[in-house]
Amino acid sequence: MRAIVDQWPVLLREGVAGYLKGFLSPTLVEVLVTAAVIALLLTFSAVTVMILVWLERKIIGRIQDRYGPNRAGRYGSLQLIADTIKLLSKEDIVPAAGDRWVFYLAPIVVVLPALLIYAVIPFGRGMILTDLNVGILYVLAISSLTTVGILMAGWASNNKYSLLGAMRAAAQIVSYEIPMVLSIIGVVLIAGSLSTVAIVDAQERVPFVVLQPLGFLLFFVAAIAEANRTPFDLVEAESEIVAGYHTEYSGMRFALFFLAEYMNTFAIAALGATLFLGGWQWGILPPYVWFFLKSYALVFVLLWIRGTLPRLRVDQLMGLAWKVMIPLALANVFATAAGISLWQRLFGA
Amino acid sequence: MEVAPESPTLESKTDRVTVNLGPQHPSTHGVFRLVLTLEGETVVDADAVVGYLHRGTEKLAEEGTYQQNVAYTDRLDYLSGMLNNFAYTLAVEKVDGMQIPERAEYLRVIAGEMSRIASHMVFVGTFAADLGTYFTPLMYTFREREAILDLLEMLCGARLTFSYYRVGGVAADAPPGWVDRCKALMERLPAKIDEYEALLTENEIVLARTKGVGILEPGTAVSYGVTGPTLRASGVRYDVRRAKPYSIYPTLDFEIPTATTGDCFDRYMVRVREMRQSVRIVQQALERMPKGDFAIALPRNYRVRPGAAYASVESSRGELGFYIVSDGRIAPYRCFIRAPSFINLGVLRQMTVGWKVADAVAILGSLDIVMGEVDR
Amino acid sequence: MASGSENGKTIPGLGIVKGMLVTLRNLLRRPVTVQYPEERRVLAQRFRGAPTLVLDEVTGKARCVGCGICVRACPKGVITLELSTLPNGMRRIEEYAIDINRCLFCGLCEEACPFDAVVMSPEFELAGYHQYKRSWNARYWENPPEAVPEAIQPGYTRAGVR
Repeated sequence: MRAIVDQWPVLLREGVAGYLKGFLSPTLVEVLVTAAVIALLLTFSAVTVMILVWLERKIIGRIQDRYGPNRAGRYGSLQLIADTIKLLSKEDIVPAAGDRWVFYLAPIVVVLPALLIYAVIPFGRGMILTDLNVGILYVLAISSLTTVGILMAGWASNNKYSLLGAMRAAAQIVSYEIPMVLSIIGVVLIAGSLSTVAIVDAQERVPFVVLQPLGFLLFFVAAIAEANRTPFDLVEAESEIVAGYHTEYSGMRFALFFLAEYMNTFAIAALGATLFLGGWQWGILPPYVWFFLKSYALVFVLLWIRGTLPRLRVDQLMGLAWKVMIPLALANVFATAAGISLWQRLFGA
Repeated sequence: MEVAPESPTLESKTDRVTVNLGPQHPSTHGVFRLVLTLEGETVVDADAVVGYLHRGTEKLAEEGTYQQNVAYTDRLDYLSGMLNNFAYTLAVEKVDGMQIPERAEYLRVIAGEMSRIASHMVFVGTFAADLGTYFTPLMYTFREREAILDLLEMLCGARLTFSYYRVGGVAADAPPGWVDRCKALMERLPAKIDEYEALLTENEIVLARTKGVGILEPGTAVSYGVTGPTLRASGVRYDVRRAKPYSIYPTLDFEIPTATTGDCFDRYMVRVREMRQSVRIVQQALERMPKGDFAIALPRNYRVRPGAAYASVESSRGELGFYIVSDGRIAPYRCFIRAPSFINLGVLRQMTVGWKVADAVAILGSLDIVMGEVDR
Repeated sequence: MASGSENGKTIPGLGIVKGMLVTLRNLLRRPVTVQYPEERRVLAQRFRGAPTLVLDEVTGKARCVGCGICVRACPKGVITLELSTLPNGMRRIEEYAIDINRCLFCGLCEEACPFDAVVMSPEFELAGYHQYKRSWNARYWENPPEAVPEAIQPGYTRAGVR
C-alpha cells in the first residue's frame, strides 16, 4: 500500500511500458514513454510558472498589507490566465532596424535552458527523466546558455540601452556562476558523484545543509543572482533608466522572457532542495510531497527576499561576487576536502 | 565607498551617451527631466529641466483676494499642504501686522507638524522605492500617512489640498473628540517609525547604496542656498523654527536633528529623526492648547494695509517663504514664493557628477523635491 | 570597500535579517486595504466633495435665493448664476451652474453662503464619459426631484462677518 502511494508514477510508467512492449518494439516503447514524460514535464513547468506567479503576487501583496489579486477567479487564481490572454492579444512589434532572426530566436534561447534543467531533477525515488551520471555538470553547463540568449536579445533590439542592460546581465550571470560551481563542489565531494540521484541518496541520514551551511548560503545567493531576482535584478530595474534587454519585446515574446525567469526561479529552488535539503528524502509523507514542500519553502524565501530588500548597484554586485563569495567558496571547498580526508583517516570509510 | 571613475593608471575611452531621465519616469518626484551625460555608467554631467508643472500661481495670486489665494498655496508642496498655507498666512499677517488668537496658533502648528510627518513618510517610502525595495516600505509608510490624513480630513474636510488656514486664523475649530484621537495616533506613531527603521536603517544593502553617496559639503550647500533637511544633513544647524522663530515654536521643546557627512543616508536619517521630533511637538501642543477663538473675524473684502513683508516657515523641504507686496487693494500686488525645492535643485549637478546612474536616482530621491513647488 | 559592506561583514548580515522579520510579521497581519467598491470608507463629516445646492427640510424648497455671494467668493469663478425678474418684482433663478471641471473643492462657497444653500456634498466619484457642469435651472426649482439626504450639512462654522 505504502509502495503504491509513494511510487505510483514509477509504477504507472513501468506498467504502461510493460504493456506496450507486448506488441511494439522495445526501443519504440522507450521513445514513446520518454516523450510522454517530457510532455508531462513541460506541462508541469508551465503549471509551476502559473502557481509561482500567483504565489508571488499574493505573498508580496500580503507583505505589503494588501490583498494581492483577488478578482479574477477565487483568490485571484485565474489572474495569470487573464494576463496571458492580454499578452497574446498584443501587437507584435519587431524593431525595424534590428536583426530580425536574432530577435525572434532570443526568447527561445533564453527559455530553453530553463526547461532543460528539469530533466535531471529527481522528483521522487526513481522519478527523474534521465539519471545522467554528470547531472550537476549538465545543469551548470546549460544554465550558462541563458547568457547567450540575453546578449542576443540586447543586440537585436538595436537600442543602446538594451545592449547596456544585456551586457550588465551577462556580466552578472557569468560572475556568479563561479561561486555557484564552487559551492556545489563541496556537495559533490561529500556525495562522491555528479549525479543528482546519487546526491539525494547520499543525504539519507543527514541533509547536506547541516554539513555545508556555508555552501548552502553561497549557493543560494549565487542562484538568486543567476535567476536575476532581487536584490540582483538590476537588469530589469524599473527605477533606473535602462529598462533592460527585454524592452523592445511585447506580447508573447515578452511572455517567454517572463516564463523563463519564473522557470529559473523554481529550478534553482528545486536544485537547492535537491542538493542541500535532501530532495525527496525524509519519511512519513510520500517522497514527491517532500520534494515540493522543500522547493516551495525555498521559493517562499525567494519571494520574501524580493518583497524586502533593495537592489545592489552593478559594481557592488560584481565586488560581492569576486571579492567576497569566491574566496569564501574556495575556503569552503578546502575545508570540505580536508574534513573528508580527516574523516576517512579516522573512520576509514 | 570609492568614487567611481578615478583610476589613475587607466584611461578609458568611451563614448559619451546622453540619457534622458525623462519627464515621466518611474522614480516619481513629479514631472522632472534630468539630462544625464554618461561615460559608461558614470555620470559626467547632469542638467535639470524644470517647468513641466508651471501653472502661474504667482500671477493668479494677484487676481484673487487674500483669503481665496490660500487655495492656490496648497497646490505648491502638495505633500505637506498645511505648511504652504502657514507660510502664506504668516506673510499676509506680517504685512498687516495682525495678531491671531492663541488657539489658532496652536491649531496651525499641530496641523503643520502633522503635515510634515505625512510628507516625510512619503519621502521614506519613495526613497526606499528608488533604491529598489519594490514598494514594501512605501506601503507601510502610506498606511500611517492614511491615518494622519484621516485626522486632517476630520479637521478640515480634505486630504491633500487642505486650504485650512485663513488670514487671521484657521477655517474651523477642531471637532469634538479630535484632540483625543490625535493624541492616540501620536502614541502609536513612534512604534511605527521604529518599524520603518528596522526595515531600512540597518539594512546592509541600503547602507551600501547610500553611505558616502552624493556627499554635499556644508560650504557648498550654504553657498547654493540649500535649506531644510538637506542642509542639516551636511552639518549646518539652520532651522527657521529656531533661527527666525514664528508662532508658538519658541515655547515648544524640540531638537533639530543634524548629521555630519551629508550623504544620502544622512539625509534619510535626518528626516526620520525629524518625524520623531514632530511627534513630540504635536504632543506638547495638544496638551497645552488653550480654549479660545480659532480666527479673527475679518470683513469679506478684507484689505491689507499697503506695505511689503517676507515671512518664512520651515517646511518639510526647507525654508518656504512668501514675499507679499500690498498696495491696499483686496488682492496682493505681488506674491513671490521662495520655493525650497527649486533652490535645492541647484546643487543637484554638483552632487551627481562622478557617481553612477543608480546613484543619480538615489541622490535625486534623497533631495526630496516636489515639482509643484519647483514649478509653481 | 567596493563590495559594498559597511564594516567588513558580508552583505547578508543582521540588518537584512531584521528587515525580513519585519516583512514576515506584516505578512501574517490582516491587510489594511478596503475592497472598494464593495466596501467603502466612512467619510468625515466635514469632507469636501462636489458642491451642491440643498433644499430646506421644512419648506421643501431650495434655500438658494440667488444673492450671488458664492459667485464672488469662488477663487476660480466656476459658479455662474443667471437671474430674471418676475412681473411682481421677485427675483427668479434661471440657472445656477457649477463647472465641476474647474472647481477647486476649496469650500469657500459653502463658507460664504449666508443661507446654507451651497454645501460640499460627500460626493467624490465624479468620473463620467462627458465633461459636464452641474446645473440647477428653472425646471428644477419648480419641481425638485427629491429631498437632499440629511447627511449633507454645512461643514464649516464661519468665522463671522464684521
